[in-house]
Amino acid sequence: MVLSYRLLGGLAIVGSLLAFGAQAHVTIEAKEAVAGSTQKIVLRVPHGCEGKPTNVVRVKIPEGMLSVKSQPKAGWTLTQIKAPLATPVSDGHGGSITEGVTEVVWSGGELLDDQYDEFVLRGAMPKTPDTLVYFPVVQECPGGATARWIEIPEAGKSSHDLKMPAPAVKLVAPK
Amino acid sequence: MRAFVLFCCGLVGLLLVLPGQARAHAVLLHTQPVDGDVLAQAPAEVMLHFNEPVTPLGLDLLGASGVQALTANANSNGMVHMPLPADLLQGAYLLRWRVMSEDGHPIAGAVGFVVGQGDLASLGAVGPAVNAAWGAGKQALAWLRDLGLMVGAGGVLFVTVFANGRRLPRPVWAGLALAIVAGLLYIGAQGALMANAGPLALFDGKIWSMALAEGQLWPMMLALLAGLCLSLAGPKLRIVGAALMLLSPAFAGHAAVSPISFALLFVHVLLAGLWLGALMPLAQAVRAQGPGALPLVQRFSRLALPAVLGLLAMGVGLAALRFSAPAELINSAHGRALLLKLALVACLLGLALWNRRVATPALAAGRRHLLLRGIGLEVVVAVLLLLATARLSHTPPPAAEAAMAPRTGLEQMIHDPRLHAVLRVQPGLPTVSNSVELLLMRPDGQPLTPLEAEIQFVPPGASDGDQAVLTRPATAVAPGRYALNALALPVPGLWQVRVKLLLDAYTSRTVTTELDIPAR
Repeated sequence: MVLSYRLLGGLAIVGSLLAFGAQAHVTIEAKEAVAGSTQKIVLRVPHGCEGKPTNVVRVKIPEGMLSVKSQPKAGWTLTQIKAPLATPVSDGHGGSITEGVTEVVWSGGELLDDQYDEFVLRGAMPKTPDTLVYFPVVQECPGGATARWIEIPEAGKSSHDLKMPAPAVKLVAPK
Repeated sequence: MRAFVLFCCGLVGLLLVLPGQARAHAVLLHTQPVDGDVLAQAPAEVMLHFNEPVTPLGLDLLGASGVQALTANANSNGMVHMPLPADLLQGAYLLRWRVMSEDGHPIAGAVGFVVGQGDLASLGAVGPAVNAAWGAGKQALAWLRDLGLMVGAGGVLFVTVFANGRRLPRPVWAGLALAIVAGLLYIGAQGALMANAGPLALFDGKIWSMALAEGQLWPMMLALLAGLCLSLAGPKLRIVGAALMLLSPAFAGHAAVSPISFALLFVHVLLAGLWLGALMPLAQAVRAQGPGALPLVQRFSRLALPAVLGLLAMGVGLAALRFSAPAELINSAHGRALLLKLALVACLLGLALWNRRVATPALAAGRRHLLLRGIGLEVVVAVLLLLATARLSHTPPPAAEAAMAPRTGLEQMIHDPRLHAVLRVQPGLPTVSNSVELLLMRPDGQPLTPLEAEIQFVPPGASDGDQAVLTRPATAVAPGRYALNALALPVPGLWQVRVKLLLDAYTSRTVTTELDIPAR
């Protein structure tokens, strides 16, 4: 029947798209981190925006993550955007920290769609064990195209159902 | 003369520079509880959300046991909260509301809901209709005020511009007095209309304070009184005074929609005052002096043509602002009122032309009765014209009329802790091109404008990856309002709708609702 060929073709397309989808997520290398510890966060960018090369990678630093430093990358301009903290934190030497990095932007580069790269930053994880911290990432490509990995699941649901989930790290209690 | 023109230009310029506030009829966006809701427990309050700030006029709750008055708190976002009595019994209730929108027009409606068990139909009629008698009273007073303005302020202009007279004739005094008294009573009538009061309302002080608190009428009164004072001063100030008095009609309701509309109307009324105000004094001069009045008549005639052109130009400008399509002239009440006024204007122009071509040369030849009759007819038509104008200025413009029209199609309210959304689909039928409107607001009523909005329509029985799922970006038409056009919803049944909003660069929010598309 003609119907079955069309169905097969459709399934093939849908199947390959789904396969692409699963691999195309921006993820973080570390699945878990100790709450309060200094951790290296590696953002893995396997694809551009629907075939276009990535020119800008932006990531939002989650609340409670302090002392953030980002790794510069050859061919890219690194910008760390600071903003006042919601609650000042003591710096352990008798003073207080009132400002922190809230966004990190790598711009001006070109990562082709068929290439892979990692964007690295490091900082002290929030002191809240048994929670998930999310790092929403936005990829910007030429012509205004974007890929926004910013969806955060509702309480009780998981990221598996989302199309564009934000990369996450699970915080565990120190041993 | 030059000073007069300069003054007009200056005033128009000033008005154009002043920040304008768009004023139109308020529209009820949504209510909580929704009309027809059946609730397990009595709600603590009822919330009405309008598209602009409104003034609550009267609200009550009709239930099986009777009517209770309610107090209302209105905020600047167009939301009106009414706390309900704590001990509401089970049954059907009707919350009847009357509010006034910024342009001075009251609107009314009702929200019915059931607590536990009850039948809304048992409650009967919807609620107190807005009393039309005071609306007609307002129109009549506006007509009298305009009549007084034409004879009085127009007369002052004529005496100062054409006749170089020092003394104001008695009819001009009468006209000025009529304008002031009618203007004052107009304010009272507005208050009575707001309060839906009976015929003795003008004697109630509360009515007056309500009208004056409304904030729109005292500039009108101020202009009238200031103008009166200046008109009684020396010859130079008289022109300013008369012009100021002729400014007052522009402060009423629909005209003050924008500074441009205000300025156009002001110049329109000013020129009308110049023209119509000259009719009676001219007739007087012709009757008294006969052919000796010819230079005066000719001097007026020379100015009349540019004045008429100016009047027509301003009128065209105002019509262009109010109407968006020529068909609206016939389809809307405002359009038909304008056509009536234009018919009278045509009569007046015809008479003026006849006066100029036939009656004025007749005067030169010594026969004054033709011109007297001609001017007399002009006066009659002018009085009718002012009546038509009063009617026109109290008929809502087509845009407001459309906003008040009952809505067809489907409407869904989406509640989410961080935002309120209203989704409207018109006509909400299968196999027909539908237009979708999405209203987004924060919980406090402020419009919410995300960076992007995308709406996904999932047909009944389909799953996410299905080809039949329609995903469309919505375009912003105003802050907090998004629109989608030409959407086909081909299958009747329960559709899932997902509204995906990009609130900022890193935050997206998806809210879902359902649409029940009926079979044809």
